[in-house]
Amino acid sequence: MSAPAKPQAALIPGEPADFSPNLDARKAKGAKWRVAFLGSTILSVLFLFALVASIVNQGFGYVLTVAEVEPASLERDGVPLERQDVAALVETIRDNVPRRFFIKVDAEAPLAQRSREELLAFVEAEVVKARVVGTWSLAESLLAKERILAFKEAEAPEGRLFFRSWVNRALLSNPQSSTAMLAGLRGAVIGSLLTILFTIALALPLGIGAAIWLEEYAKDNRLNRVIRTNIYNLAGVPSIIYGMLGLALFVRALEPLTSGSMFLASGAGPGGGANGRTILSASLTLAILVLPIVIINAQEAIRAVPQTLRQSSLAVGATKWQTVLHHVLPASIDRILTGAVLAISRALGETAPLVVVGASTFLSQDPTGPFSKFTTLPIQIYQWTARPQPEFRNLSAAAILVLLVLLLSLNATAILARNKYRKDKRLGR
Amino acid sequence: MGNRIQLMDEMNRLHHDLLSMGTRVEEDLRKAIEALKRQDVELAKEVKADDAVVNALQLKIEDQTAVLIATQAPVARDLRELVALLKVTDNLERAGDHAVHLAKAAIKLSGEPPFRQIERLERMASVGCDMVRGAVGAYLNRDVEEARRVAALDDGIDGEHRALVQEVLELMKERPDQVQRAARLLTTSGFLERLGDHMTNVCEAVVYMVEGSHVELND
Amino acid sequence: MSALTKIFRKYGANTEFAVTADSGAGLDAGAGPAAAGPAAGASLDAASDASAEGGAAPAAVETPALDVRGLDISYADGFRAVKELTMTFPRRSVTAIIGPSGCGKSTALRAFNRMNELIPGTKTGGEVLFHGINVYDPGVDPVQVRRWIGMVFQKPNPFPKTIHENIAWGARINGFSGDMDELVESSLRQVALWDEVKDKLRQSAFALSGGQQQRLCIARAIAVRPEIILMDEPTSALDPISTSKIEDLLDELKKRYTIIIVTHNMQQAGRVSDSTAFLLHGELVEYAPTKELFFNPKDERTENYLSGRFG
Repeated sequence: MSAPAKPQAALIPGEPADFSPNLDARKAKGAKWRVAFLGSTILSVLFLFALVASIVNQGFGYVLTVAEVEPASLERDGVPLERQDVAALVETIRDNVPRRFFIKVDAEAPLAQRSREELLAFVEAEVVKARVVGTWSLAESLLAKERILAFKEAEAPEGRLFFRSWVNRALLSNPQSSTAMLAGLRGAVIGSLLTILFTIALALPLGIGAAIWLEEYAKDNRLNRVIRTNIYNLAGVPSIIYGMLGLALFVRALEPLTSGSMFLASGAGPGGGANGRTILSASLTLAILVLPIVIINAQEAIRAVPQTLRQSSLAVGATKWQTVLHHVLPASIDRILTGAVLAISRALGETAPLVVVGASTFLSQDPTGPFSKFTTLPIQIYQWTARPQPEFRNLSAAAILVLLVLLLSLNATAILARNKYRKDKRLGR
Repeated sequence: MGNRIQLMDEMNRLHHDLLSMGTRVEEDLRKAIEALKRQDVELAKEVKADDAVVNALQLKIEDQTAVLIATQAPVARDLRELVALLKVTDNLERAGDHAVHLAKAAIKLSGEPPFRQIERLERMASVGCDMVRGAVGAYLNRDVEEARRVAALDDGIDGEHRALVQEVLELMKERPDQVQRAARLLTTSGFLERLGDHMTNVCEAVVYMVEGSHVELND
Repeated sequence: MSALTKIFRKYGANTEFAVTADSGAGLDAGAGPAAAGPAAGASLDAASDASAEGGAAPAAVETPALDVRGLDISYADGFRAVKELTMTFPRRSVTAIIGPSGCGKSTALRAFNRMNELIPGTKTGGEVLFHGINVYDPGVDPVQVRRWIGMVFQKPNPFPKTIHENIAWGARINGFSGDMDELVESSLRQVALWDEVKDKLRQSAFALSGGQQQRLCIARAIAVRPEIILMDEPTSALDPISTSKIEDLLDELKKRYTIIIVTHNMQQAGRVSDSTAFLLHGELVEYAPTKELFFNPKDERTENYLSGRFG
């Protein structure tokens, strides 16, 4: 988009002598700034790309495992392991684990009554005990295949080398495990979703309500100005402090409420253990954390509604409340939902405060309700990155990808809702 | 008062035109009187020719006034001034016609010894001239007092007219051979009496312009 | 129940939701004298009346639609926008309020239906009597006031809803229980908009042109059947054709409603209004039938303003 070169001289003959338009110099300066802006954009995009690339790089690649007991050797009557039925599997297990262990496991829950998948997983974990010898990134897997093969030949010729996508269905459906190959995000995903659900259910109504009060009803006096300023300040408080607040208030002081013992006669929540480190506490903490975001956004949205709309509503004899409900809110709902999107994004990624509030490091059961023990995706990722085994690096990368997808889909839903409201507004529905 | 410069410029121009027209009519009347007195046919012909110019001036002022009302949308005093102007020029144009009547009489009555009554006509026309000057001046100066004073002059013209009619009727009885010429005296006197009425109309227009009400200034 | 509601409940107007302009005329609860009404001058009216009807008969004495006494309005910064305004507005006619910018005409207008209260810090003194009741009385609910005294604003501002809903909403929240479609149609007919929009009632109001939107706003205001319609420079944002369409409307509307219109366009005031009040620096300078005021104003300041010598 370049303009043809214009002559240097003034375009208007007889232009007054004390004007020197400097057109070329001004344009040159503008061109330089344009390059700078473009450069910033390119740089930012590069950073983002690098981030995504490194995650994807770790999420896929070759894995070299050595099994203690080869699955092939577990064939029974000519039937390979994968196709054995429950009875055969039970026998396989009995033959391959120590007797005491077998009795103990059977006592916990009779093996014959467990599902086939469960038994297979059990065999995998306790019998085959595949040990990861090496993992490689995607780049390595694609580009340095010979080296990998050589490594296999040198270190574990009898091992199994296969390409694994660390993001797979098992990742989402498996529970936690200390074995990388078997570990899954089921508990964490459910925990994240439940937490977000309650957070939004608490923060949105509270935040929108507060915003409506502050913008529509509150008088512009000193007290209210102080309140407003402090809400803005709260948005910048480090999130760990919310964690400490959550710990003291929700986990400890309000334990009867958050542990659910208030509502349940037995005194034990479904998560097991009547303490306050539940999803409810996490949601409450996060709700307070994102509340300023919601309030500020909703305030901006309400403020953006032109005063003429309110006036025309009042002029037909509507009350203030009717004006807010029927005109101001519908006109600002799209921007309020933008605030909701921001809140979801923030809440989904918070790690430190939830660690303080007491995310469980190990979940025996999936969370089922507000009174369950919990863990969330970011916390799970954090825990996995702290493990020494290299395969956990891959797992973390995979989990990050899952988190990103979750985030994007939640955001997309909110954006879709917002766009629908915007379209309705434009069409006057 | 600052604004409406265009309107004020235009109105000044109209006033200027009115003054020209008034001066011209006055001059025509005086020339016609002279022509009558000295039986100067050439002078009378000049007056007749000049009527075309007077009529043209009246039409010009009228058109410009209409344009001004359309484009400037004047109200209140400005509007009344323009409406009054239309009345003034209309009556002034008729005064110009009466100058022509006077000139025609001068031509027709020439060539023979003049009637004594010519003097009355001269007096009437002279007062008429004064009325023309006074009325136009009253309009341009927006002077209601002056307008009333000028209007009062009409009484003089009416008086002379009545006297002249009496005398001429007597004359016609005494000298039947002069009836045709004497008739000319009557008609001319009638026209001059109307001149006074028209100038009174101008004075009434001045009152309308200043005060906004219609008045009868005579009888 | 506010005093104003009580009055109208008594006459059944609220419950039927069918207040015609006539029902107001009967209520005479101690309204003030029509003394400060437009002073009818002698010459012009007498002359035309005499010639037309053979003798000028004075108009039947009706209570004024609005009786303003000593209205005094100051803003938060202390600026006194309206100074002791006293005037009455005759029923079922169009009264224009003119004056240079900042003379307080819009402020006064907004005081009549208590819209000034939306601006924080505004102090209002004096009385605005509507059917003998001061709308600023502590017992009077401003929401009710605005139902009986409606307003049309300078910039067309329909609700971001469908055309139908724009008109129906106000009626609905005020308890209208009749045939809504009929109400919508009748309101649109009164503003000469029905034929243009009858096929698009479910479309957004923003699909209309500026002039149509403003007519829609007028329809919206009359859908709740007010007695008085306040118009704050309703055509200053519109093109000449839309302006002229709306001016033609006023002639029809004034048969049912009292209209008070603030305008900075003198010619408009001349065209549409029956009486005109001239405000200057918050004070009422002259108030007379429009023909009088425009032909022969009594006050020199009015003369100068009308002739465009200032302002």
